[in-house]
Amino acid sequence: MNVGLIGAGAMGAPMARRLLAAGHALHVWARRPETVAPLVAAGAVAHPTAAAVGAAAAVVFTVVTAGRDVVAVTLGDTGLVHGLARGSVVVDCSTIDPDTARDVADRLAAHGIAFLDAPVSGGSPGAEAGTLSMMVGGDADALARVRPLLDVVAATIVHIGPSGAGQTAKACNQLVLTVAIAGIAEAMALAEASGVDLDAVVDVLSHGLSASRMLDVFGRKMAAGRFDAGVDVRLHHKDAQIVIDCAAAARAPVPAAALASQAYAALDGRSGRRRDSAAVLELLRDLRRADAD
Amino acid sequence: MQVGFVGLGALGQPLALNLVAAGHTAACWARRPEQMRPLLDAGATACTSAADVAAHAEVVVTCVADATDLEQVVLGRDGIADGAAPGTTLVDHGTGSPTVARVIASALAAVGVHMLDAPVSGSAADARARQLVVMVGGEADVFERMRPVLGCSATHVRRVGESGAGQVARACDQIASNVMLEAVAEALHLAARSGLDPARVRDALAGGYAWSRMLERHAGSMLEGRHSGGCHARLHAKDLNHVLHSAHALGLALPLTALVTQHFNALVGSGDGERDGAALVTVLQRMGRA
Repeated sequence: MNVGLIGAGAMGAPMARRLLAAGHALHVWARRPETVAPLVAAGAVAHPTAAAVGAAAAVVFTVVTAGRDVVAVTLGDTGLVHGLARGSVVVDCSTIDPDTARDVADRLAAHGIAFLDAPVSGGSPGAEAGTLSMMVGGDADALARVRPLLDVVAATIVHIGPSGAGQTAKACNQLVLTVAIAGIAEAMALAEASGVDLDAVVDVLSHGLSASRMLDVFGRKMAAGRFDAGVDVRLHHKDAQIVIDCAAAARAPVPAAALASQAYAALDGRSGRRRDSAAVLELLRDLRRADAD
Repeated sequence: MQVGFVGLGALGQPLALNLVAAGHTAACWARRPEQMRPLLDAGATACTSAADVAAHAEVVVTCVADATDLEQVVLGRDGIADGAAPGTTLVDHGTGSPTVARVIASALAAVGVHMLDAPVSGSAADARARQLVVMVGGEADVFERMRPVLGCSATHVRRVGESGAGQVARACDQIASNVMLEAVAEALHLAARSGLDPARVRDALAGGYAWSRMLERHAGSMLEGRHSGGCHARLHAKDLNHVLHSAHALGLALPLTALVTQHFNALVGSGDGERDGAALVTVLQRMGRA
């Protein structure tokens, strides 16, 4: 079927490739056309605007960075709303704040367009393998209609509740992993300062009560000293702020998440090349280095 | 001087009354007209909008809840910008965002209106006692001209830099004072849970390096379980969240501020948002309760 996708980044591109591989006709748009060139080479059709993608497809995935990007591609001057027919569905896989998700859903509903907030967890490898975990907020009927398409990219699909509920679940997800990364980094820093081999510690921890996906991924990166962009620290910084904002709105204290978020803030503010979130360990090392600046 | 007021809340009202008492001619407007009463009784003229206030004033003083409200009353429909003649000066005493202060200042500069961001540190009681501290951002010559207005409720008035600098200084003020407040709460909590008389510990601390205005002001209320009268916890939470947003935009870590904000958030969530900052100690007490 005709499917649209906007936002062919680290997550969007592998999702797009899976949709193509499943035999769907894929329609894409990007602010910078070179972004979608590899997809076009693989058979996707590039359009001049998001609205044009909407006119060509009844279901459109959006996988962009921030809440304002979602608003722009859906409701902007040349946004999807100007192309999509009544009865079509937008599946937003971006991680944004629940308020914006509810607002966009309301405004699209006025045009007879369903909007599902459907953020995913699992990273680029999960997207490549089609094993993402997807948490969905919005209309259950709309979800039922697009479910066969979602199955192409996600292995776990959970309908959490009404609009915004998917993003709230994602905020909970990001809360756990941003705190976990900070905890793992502290464990690594302690091991290192005590002269204990990091690989050995990661190995033994991964068989005990500290076993976690984050330990598998970030513990190993930290032990190997691989701090280059895998998960750009700027994204975790953005997500951590969404967690804090959700907590303020819900009047629910999140002290550990608040403290962890400041490590991402510090790394985000550093100059130089992009860092992976594993660099929280570097931050801790620098804290005990007298000449750090 | 002809002074106009917009925003006659807990803090705005004493600020305005002090200016009237100092002999300035006043005009005012408030969304809720009953808030104008004390000022009208003192001889001020009621106006029909923020624009109307601006049309009647050489200096417009604002003291509204936050940056969003400020944008509304200055640049919104029937706002101050609609009524102010070139040469008018806006003095904003509200606590808000440096970015918004700069945006408003430059929008006003385009129509010949000057602006000072002049947030204050201190409570409504401090305002009545003319003991506030005012931190000012804006042009130096405008600041000098406005000294009689800025100094009316304050013991200290300091220009810290160009537009927005006053709000940055106010954010710094909130960081330092709220972290201090948490420290006082933790110290007294430890003293009490160790079986000491926390009042004696308070007195001992007050004589040494742990002295601070927050200790002086709030330790007593913490000990007596009196948590009202000061700035509401929900306002602390709101302001600190704004500080953290500024830090987020700069990529700046403020770990203790982040933590204290969550303790205020806990107070708001437990229904204690109307209690004052001294209620921070109850968050610690609850953590230790089964």
